[in-house]
Amino acid sequence: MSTTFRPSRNFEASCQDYLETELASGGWTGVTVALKGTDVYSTSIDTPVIIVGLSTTDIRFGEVGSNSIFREALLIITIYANSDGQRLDLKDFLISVLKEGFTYNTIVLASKVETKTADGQVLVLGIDDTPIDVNIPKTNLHKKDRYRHELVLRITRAELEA
Amino acid sequence: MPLRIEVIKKGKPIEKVITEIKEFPVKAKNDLIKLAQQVLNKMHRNINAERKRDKKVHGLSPKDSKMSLIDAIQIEYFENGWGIGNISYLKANSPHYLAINWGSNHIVGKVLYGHFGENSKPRSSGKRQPFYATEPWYSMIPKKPIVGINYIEKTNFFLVGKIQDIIAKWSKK
Repeated sequence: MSTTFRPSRNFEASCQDYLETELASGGWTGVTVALKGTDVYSTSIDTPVIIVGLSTTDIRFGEVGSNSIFREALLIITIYANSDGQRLDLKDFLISVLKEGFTYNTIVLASKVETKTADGQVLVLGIDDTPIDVNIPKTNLHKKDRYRHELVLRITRAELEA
Repeated sequence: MPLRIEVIKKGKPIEKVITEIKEFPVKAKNDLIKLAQQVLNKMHRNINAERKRDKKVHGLSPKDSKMSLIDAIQIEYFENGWGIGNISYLKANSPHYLAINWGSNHIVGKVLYGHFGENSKPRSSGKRQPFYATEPWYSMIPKKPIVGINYIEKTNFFLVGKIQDIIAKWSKK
């Protein structure tokens, strides 16, 4: 039995793939890229960690007389770094690669094997860049919470969805 | 260095385009003011949608006099606009507003008191952690971190979409 990912999961998985590839070719080692829902506090995961998660989506009809839609989504990328320097370097690196957009893959999962098919491009319409400070002294925070950063991307596919 | 100006609105003299830009806030003022209530409602819905427990009742527990996040987030109007959520007020009355937005592990293992009184007991639920009836206020020791719900980012996304709609509406007229 196979599972075909729908657009929201395709966005997340496509971004995860893209970041893994770019981090490797950019010389970064030991950086985990995971999807939202991953327990970053687990002892089996070491920082730095990058969490990718799709949040809300704005859907509008794209044409008069057609049900095709235009989907604009909010993609949230959270960095859990080991230091302030690493946090800043990672976020700047991610901005430099994400501003180019990335390939949209449609993904089919069968017997735990993912089959990815490139199906256009994801456009990045804007990036908000925010250091995460929850107003708690760093010494009172979990060590994985001390150097966090958030990139909020507005993304869309470069085509209408039938 | 020369300055290059590109006029992309065809068929209109530059003077008219400048006038339209200047008039925009006046024409769109009512729509922009109405937007405040929509944005507040959206932010409250974003919080409620991810709520893990019942909404807290303010002032019942002497151990914790802070407000429910929703009660603390309100519209503030000022001369030329409005804002949602006064940061100083939130820091004083709902200091976990950022931890709820982004998530944090700092509460794990600490004793916390909810805003529950004897007439407003927390509901027990199979999968969630229990509150203990202590002193006689209810307390708990969280085992799991706060999961960030990104209610600020979601609301901002909504706001940007609505402002785009208003710009589109008034640009056509």
